[in-house]
Amino acid sequence: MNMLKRRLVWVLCCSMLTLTLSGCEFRDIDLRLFVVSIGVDVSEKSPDLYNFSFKISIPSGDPKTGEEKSLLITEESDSIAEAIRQVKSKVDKELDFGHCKGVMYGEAYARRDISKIEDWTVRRRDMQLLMYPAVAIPTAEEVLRAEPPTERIAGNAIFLALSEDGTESPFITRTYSFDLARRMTEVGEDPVMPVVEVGEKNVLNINKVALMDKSKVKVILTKDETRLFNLLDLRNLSTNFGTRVDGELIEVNTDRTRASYKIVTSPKGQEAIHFRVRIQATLEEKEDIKLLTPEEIKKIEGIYNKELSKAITDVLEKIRKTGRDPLGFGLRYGGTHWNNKTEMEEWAAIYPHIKFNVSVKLRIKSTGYKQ
Amino acid sequence: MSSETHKTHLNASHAKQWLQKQLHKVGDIEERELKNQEDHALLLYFKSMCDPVVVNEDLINRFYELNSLKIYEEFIRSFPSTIEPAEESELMRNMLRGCVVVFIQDRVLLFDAVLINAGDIQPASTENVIQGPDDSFTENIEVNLNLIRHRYQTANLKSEFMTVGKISQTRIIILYDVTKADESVLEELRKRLSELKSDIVQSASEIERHTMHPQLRLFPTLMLTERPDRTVMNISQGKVAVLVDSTGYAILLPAIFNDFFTAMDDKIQLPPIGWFLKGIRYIALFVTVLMPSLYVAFTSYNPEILKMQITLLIAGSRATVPYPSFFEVIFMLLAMEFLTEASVRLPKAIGQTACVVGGLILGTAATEAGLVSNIMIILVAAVAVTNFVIPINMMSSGIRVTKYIFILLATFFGLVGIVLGVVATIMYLTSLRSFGKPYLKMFAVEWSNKGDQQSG
Amino acid sequence: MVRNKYFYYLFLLNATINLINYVPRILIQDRFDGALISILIAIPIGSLLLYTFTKLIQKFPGEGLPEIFNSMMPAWISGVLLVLYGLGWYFSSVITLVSFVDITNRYVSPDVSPIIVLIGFLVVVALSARLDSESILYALEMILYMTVPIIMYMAWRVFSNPYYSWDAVRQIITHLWDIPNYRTVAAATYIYTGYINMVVFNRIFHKFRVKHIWSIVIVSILTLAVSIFAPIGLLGAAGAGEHVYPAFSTADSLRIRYFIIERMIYVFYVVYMCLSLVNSIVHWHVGKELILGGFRLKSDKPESIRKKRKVEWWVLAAFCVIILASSMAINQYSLNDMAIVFLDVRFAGEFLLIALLFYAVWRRRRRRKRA
Repeated sequence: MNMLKRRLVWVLCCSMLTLTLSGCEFRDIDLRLFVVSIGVDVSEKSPDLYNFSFKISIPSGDPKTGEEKSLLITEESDSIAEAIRQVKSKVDKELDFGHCKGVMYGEAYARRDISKIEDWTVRRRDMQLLMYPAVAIPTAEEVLRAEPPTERIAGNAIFLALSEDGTESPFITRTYSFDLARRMTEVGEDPVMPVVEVGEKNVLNINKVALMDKSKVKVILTKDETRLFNLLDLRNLSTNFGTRVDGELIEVNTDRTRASYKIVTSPKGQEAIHFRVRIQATLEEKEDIKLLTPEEIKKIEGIYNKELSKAITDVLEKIRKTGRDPLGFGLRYGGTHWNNKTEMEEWAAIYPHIKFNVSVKLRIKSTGYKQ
Repeated sequence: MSSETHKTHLNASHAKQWLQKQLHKVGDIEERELKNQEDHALLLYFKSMCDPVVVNEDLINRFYELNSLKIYEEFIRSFPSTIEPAEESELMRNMLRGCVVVFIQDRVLLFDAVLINAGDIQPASTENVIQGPDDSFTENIEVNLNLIRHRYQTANLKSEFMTVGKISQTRIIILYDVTKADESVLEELRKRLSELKSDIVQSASEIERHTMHPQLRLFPTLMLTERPDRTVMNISQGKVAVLVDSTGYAILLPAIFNDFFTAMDDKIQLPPIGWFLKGIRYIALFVTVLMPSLYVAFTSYNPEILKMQITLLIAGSRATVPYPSFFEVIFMLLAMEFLTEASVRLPKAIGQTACVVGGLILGTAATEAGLVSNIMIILVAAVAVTNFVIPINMMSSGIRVTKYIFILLATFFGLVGIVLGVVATIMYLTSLRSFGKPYLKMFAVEWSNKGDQQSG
Repeated sequence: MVRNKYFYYLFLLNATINLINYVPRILIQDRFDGALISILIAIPIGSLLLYTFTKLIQKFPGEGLPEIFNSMMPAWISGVLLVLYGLGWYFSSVITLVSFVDITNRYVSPDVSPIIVLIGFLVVVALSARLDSESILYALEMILYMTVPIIMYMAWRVFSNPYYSWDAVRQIITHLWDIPNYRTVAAATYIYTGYINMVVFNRIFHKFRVKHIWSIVIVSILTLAVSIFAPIGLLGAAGAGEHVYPAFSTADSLRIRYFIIERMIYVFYVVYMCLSLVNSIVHWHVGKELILGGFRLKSDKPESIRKKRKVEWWVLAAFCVIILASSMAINQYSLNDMAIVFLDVRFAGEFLLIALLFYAVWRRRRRRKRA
């Protein structure tokens, strides 16, 4: 009993001490403003100044109304830390970056160098590594300003589109900031970012991918190239492919896709990458009203295999010509060769003239409810 | 009835010796030697199981009225339920059921004098079950012993009588199955009971309080129950029960943490459902202890942990609340505690009204006025309901207090404080011992002895 | 008396806590300089040390290291050795606690001063370390059963992540044939060090035997694989080296899609905070008992128990003061250096301990022969 009392007194003293020392230094949730995304643009005034935009979500008292409010503050400054200090004096509550989920790099800025801001987002303690980085066209500020009508929570539309939670578009290349950071430092793998465009009526259009030269955007692929890129990069991409058989349009929907490749280094001078793409698809749309026979399906598959192989080879060659390596061929080369000192130099010599042998195996598994 | 059978009769002196050996340390055994000038007979019975009126009228008075032993024997045999046992086990079995053993010369007879206490037994009020026996202990210690003997008919059930309390001289009975109970636990119990120094002992919980170390603690290390079936089940698992006179509760020991999360329903239901119910109770434990403190931590220290949607929801509903979160939580929880206390003291009819007025109207009005957030009301309701899921009242009261400690920790340290509290609580609980048995332990229930119901 | 399974728990505790004690960081620092070969060397060495130790300690049923040493050596030698071992073992918890307070301040509560957090930790650890060995083992069991399933889930989530780069892992594997170094071997053998706790806990083991040593080896291999490859796969072969706490950055890269908490890092944090606390409690308990044994304090008579209790408080108070002082004095770089020094010294100390136990067995056998 005595022992217990003493222990109790000690605990009490400790908690009193804690109380006096800390004085409960916390800020309640209603006294914080949650920044949901950040945008970075180049300032028109001076090359050393940037426009930092902060999209702040304002919670509404009644969740049932579905009404959402947000605030966009743009600040011109030469560093982001400075910009935050300036924004703080413009708002009444404390800024909280704990829920910041998007970082938009304006196109002009992204073509220059994103490494400074990217480093800041990884370094800062309250920034997640699960942020969605994206290239914004025309500027980050305008992308952040857009509020699509389907949006229920401020800034949420863009995150839903960029994550796997929301839409399942084959044109969206998904990436997180840890993935971006990894690719920016990795030897033999280059970063990619999705491109967000503001369309008409506040609709956000995400259907392109930007290939980067480590820290700056080098080239932006077109919509169809982006789809093929995603087909090679990811597994089980659900998309559709169209073709014409005897002048009649046919569309298939993919159920399962899988791309794998092998780097063949001999004979010297004729190094090649063998790409194998397997697709399982369902027939979705066809103009011809005749019923299909197995022979015809074989024929359709043949046409697809040829066309897709050609298209994929073209994309790969286009990527190779830019000198970038977004699919990580170089890393694979390094990972399969044991001469660690010289392998990357060898690869640098090989890559510009490497050949792509693409073989696509598309199988139409079913023709839907009709024959 | 079957007076003239050709069965081998029991040898009376052998049977007597055998019985006395079996009934060693059984405190409620009654031995009456009846003597007149030349004849003598011996009655042996469980005081708690036999009707004293019947025994007096039919056995004792008759002995002195009928002057020959022969007629006395014939008289006893004339009862249709009288048996002449063929072997010793039969003797014991019927005795435990409520028969009186009558030794007349070399004859052994069993006279039925079963006492059934049905009238004054109330249904259980604090440990309710849905489909199960409804009996609860009465305030009479003899009746209680009778209730247990009815359910546990073996001579291995020993009963030791003691008195505690210098002034109150409260009678207590230590009950245990001698083949299963741990002798060291019994030794310890006897020692602690004899050291009990208070003047007046009126309830079982007083004994609980005075015998356990340390005295200041939040979690009970002895079980108080009002159910005879729980008591019997525990005795069958080798635990010790202590009956206290003038209280409707028995003490069961040693009791471990898991026992307090077992309701008698678990045995009545099919096994998977029983496990499910137990799982529910443990989830309820975590919810009731951690929910309020997590709310404080999430709103004041770490709003970045929850999903963005939830965070914004909380922030929105708290927008009008004029004080910090921990004050809001304490305010609402206290209101709930007042309600609970009020409804216990009030007569049943008014208690209901108090709950409705307090719970529904006050809650709605407080949110309407913007004094507390909507989410807070949901939380308080969840905490209150989950608290009552824990079947044993002593434990659920302990947990009711524990959550305030956690709120305090969350107020000072945020999430860190809650984790600190959880680890400290686990450490504290594992360091407790209930009569030498670890209080909290993984796999405290031995699954190896199958068939037996393990915890209770 | 406790059963043999508690030995496995002691091993598992140390194996899981390596993520806090800078083991992944040291391994990743040397990932291009022989980390992998060091791990391969460390596995047999660590297992062998563990196996030899268990065989030796079996010769002293119910005895702790203080009893063994005090009966074998002159008082001053055994005193010095025990105090040194006690301090060394306590030092491990200094690293755990100080780095965990740093982590807390970084990731969870920047609002609370680190000293306050540390005081909170110390109160729990110091009060719990005073409990008897049996209770500590029961609590350890409880917490392991609560946390290990979550750790396994997180490991599974890392390796099944679509962003997990197996090519980066292959790249590291091709660096297998570099020259190993002492520092990395020492760090990798930390996984096995849990057995040292037996120097005190052996007192309460009943017929201590270790069966299924292969299961320990398998678990340790898996643990090491997670420690080094989980960060490399998600943060990149090159990028993993940039993070101060690679394990935490890895956890931050995981997203839970269907739960009220979205970021895995908070789950990870809570799990590792529980483990760090229990680890510190176990280490303080062992350290305290060794030091008390060094002063030849026994607990057989009530008089000596009271004296031991008094000294115990002073030892624990000294432990607290050392940690408070060191947490104020050191920064993240010196903490890392400290961790390396500890891991190196510990490795050598283990060999010395085994040698001393061999000596003790030899002495005892000779004494028995003489008697």
